[in-house]
Amino acid sequence: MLHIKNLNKHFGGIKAVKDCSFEVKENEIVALIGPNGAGKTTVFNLLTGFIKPDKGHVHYKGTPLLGVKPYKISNLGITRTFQLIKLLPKLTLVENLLIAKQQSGEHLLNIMFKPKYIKHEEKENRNHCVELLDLVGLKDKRNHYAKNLSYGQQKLVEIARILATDADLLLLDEPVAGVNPVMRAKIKNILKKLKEQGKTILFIEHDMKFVMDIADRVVVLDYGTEIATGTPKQIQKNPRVLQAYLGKKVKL
Amino acid sequence: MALEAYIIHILIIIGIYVILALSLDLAIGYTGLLNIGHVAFYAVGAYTSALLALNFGTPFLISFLAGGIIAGIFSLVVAIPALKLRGDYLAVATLGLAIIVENILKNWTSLTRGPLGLPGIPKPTIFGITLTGITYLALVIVVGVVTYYLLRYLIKTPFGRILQAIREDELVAKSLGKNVTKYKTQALLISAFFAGLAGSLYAHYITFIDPTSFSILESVLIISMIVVGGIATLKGAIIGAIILILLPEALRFLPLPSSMIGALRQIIYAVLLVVLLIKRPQGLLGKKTEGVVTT
Repeated sequence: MLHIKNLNKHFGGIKAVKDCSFEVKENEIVALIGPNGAGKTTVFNLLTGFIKPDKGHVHYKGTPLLGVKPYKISNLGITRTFQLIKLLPKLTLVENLLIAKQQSGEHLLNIMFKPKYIKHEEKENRNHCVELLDLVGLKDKRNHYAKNLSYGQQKLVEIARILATDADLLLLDEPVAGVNPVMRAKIKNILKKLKEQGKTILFIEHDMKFVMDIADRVVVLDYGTEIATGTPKQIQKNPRVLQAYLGKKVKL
Repeated sequence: MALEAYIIHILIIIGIYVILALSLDLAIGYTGLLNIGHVAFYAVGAYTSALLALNFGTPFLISFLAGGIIAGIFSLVVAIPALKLRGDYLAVATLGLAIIVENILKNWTSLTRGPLGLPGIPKPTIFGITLTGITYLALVIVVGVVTYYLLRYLIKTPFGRILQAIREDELVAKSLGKNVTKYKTQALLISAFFAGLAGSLYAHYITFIDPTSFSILESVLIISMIVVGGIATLKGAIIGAIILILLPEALRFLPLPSSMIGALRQIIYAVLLVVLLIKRPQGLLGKKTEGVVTT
């Protein structure tokens, strides 16, 4: 579904991503792990068009993604969350979700010529967004401003928002970072449910227990290059991975 | 009789500024485009409408709409380079725009007559009735009400919601598939269109325009209106326009010696505004920031 080949990106003298290649198959949950500064978020930014690569290839369902603008990539069915939560603080929760929808009422000509239709469409979308908020347990707060929620609740809204996009490939940047165990279990269940619905998920996470619990496959990055890929069990025993995380054995 | 004419005059000026404040609020308040050059669109509308009427004798409704449309087209020319900029940079670019337009008006003498201005702009005639005084006020009110309801409708549509999303966080809007540049351009276009209409209303009311009516200070006044009323509230824009026009007029009647009144008026005016903004930083009708702010 997603093929990444020889991706390269440097910032000044630092090679953030170096000949990185891996793939994500349809309906798979893949974890992207690696020490801090390994280039994980940079890979996300390259995939979603927020930064331009130096060279390499990325194909999504056969369509090349490199050089395509972020909003167009999103419209191909790829959506993402950000490492730091990015909600729209002065909009309500429902409005935060409605933004994720593609509606005819977003276009001025339709507003002028099809006012009834856009009203109807907005109503249906609003109902769907309330359902999604119900799914993450925040239906009661649908008319609250996003900024008045707790951190964990904001994370849930962010996940509900990517559900509202109808995207097939979800890129999640640290979905459970800084989240309490109850909320973590909740997010885990939601991701599992998403997989059952046929979604494909690629996520970055430092919480290894979470990664081992949920990932079908793990891709490990170190210094911008993928150094290992396999099932969670294989990765746990991989000497190169241990070395990347814990350092080389030194003879004393 | 004189008092009545004076009141009608004040109301017409308020009406014109209401339209300017409403239209600017769409750009600054709702879309987050810090446009300091709104007066440029106002000027383009006024000159377009006046020149059409003076040189070609076009009927009022046509010059009026042309004022809005040309101001809108002008905003597109501005949008292409300017909308790549954000926040403070956009503010500086639009400030430059206002100064450029003012200088063009001063120096393109073959078209605008420069500092001499354009006298004798005809009063509008609609269906054979020439609008002056109270009938002109009626025209301004109609345009103002239509502007208010159109903008209010627009900001409640999904289109309006995207503008607010762009104001809150451009990256989010992009990552959710919104063509941010397109929406900013459209917001600026609509904003400029209504400013152009206001310009036309001003030109045909005063019947004389010159570059001094469109200095950067006008932009500052319009921005003050939306800040005082409460940014991103349309009713606030209206209240702000009313207060900032009425306040200096009311101070005219203070029992002060005529040698002092000019300077004192400005001091009192400034002090009142500062006090207001200290007491209510969100503006008169601005929404209070509820609950805990987590950011």
